[in-house]
Amino acid sequence: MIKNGKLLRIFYSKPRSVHNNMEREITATKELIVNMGPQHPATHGVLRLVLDVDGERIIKCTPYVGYLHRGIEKLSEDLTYVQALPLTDRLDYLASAANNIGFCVAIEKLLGLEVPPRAKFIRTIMGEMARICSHLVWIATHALDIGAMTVFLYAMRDREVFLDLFEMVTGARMTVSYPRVGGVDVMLTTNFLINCINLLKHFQKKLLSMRP
Amino acid sequence: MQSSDIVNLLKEKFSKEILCTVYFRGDCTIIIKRDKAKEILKFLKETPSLDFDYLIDVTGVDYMGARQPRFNVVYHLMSIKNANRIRVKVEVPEEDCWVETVSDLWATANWHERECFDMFGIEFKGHPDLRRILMPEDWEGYPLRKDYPVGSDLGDKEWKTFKDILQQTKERA
Repeated sequence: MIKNGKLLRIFYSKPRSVHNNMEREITATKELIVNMGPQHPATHGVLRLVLDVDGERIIKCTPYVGYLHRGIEKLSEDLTYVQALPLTDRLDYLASAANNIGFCVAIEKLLGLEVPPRAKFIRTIMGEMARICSHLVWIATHALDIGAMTVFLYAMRDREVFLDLFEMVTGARMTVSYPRVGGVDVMLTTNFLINCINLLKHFQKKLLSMRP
Repeated sequence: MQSSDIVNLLKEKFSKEILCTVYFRGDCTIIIKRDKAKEILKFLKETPSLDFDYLIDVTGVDYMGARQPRFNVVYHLMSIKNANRIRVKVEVPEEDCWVETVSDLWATANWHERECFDMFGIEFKGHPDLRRILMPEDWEGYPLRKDYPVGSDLGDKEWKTFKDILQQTKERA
C-alpha cells in the first residue's frame, strides 16, 4: 500500500493527529503506523488499534474502543423501567438472562420490593443456564483461535440444547427478557423441568469430552 | 469497620468539606465539596484502616433543573481487604465544570474519567490524556447531558463526518 514513498491513506473519518502521522515519509524513520481494525479477524468485535511498529515489535498501541457504544443510557432516559428491560438483553447477548436479573434486582432495591422465593429459584436457574451458555461460547471461540475446530463444534452443539430450553419458556433463544420487576414473566412448564433434569444428567459427560 | 465508622473518621478530619451523608438500603453515600475532593479520596485510599484500593466506577450525573449545582461526579470505592463499599459524590457547577483527576491514585480512573468527560463535558484537571473515548474525536456536544436530544432531531448537531462519508460513498459509486 505504498504510493510515492508515502503510506496510502486509510479510509476513515478523521482522527487528524493519526492522519498527519500516516503521511510521514517512510524513508524518514524506521517506525511504521499500522491501523488494525475496526474489523479484524483477531478481535472478536469491533475494535480499532493504532499500532506504532518497529519491524515486528509493537512500540505503542492506541485503542479506539467506541465502535460498540450504542448509547443505551441515553436511550433509557425516555423509557420506563419495564421498557428499558429489553435493552439490558443486548448488553451481553450471550448471557442475557443474567443482565436482566441484575437490572431487575437494582429496581427492586430502589422500590424496596421483596421477591417471592419461587421467583428467586427460577431466576437462579435461568441465570446459571445463561452463564453456562456464555462460558460455552467462550471456550468455543477460544479453542477456535488456537486451531481446535472440534471443541468449537462440540461447545456449540451443547449450547444449542440450552438455547432450546430458553425458547421453551420465554419464546426467545438469546434475548430472553424473562425476569420482571418483582418476579419473572411466566411460570416454568413441566416440559421444561423434565428436559432440564434430563440435560443435567448428560451435560457433565459432554463437558468432560471437551477436555484435552 | 462499619460504614458509619468511616463517615465519622472522615468527619473528624474533613468536617468542613463534607456536605452531607446519605444512607439508603444499606448503601452509604458521602457528598463532598469539590475543592478538597482529591485529598479526601486520597485519604480514603491511603489510610491503612480504610484501604479503599479498588475504584469500581467514576461517572457523572446531570441534575438539570432539579438541583443546584447541576453536575455530580460519583466515585464508587471498594476495599477488597475489608469488604467495604462507599460512594463519594462531588458537586460540580455548570459554569465552572471541572474536578481534579484521580488517575494518579487509581490507574483505572484514566478511562473512566475520559468517558465522563466524553459524555458530560466535565474536565478532569491534571488528566494525562483527556480525549473522547466512546464518541468520535470530532463529535460536537456531550450526549448524556439532559439538554442533549435523544431522538433523531439533532438538527445542526448531527455528526458532520457522517455526512462527509455518505457523500464520499456516493461519489465512489
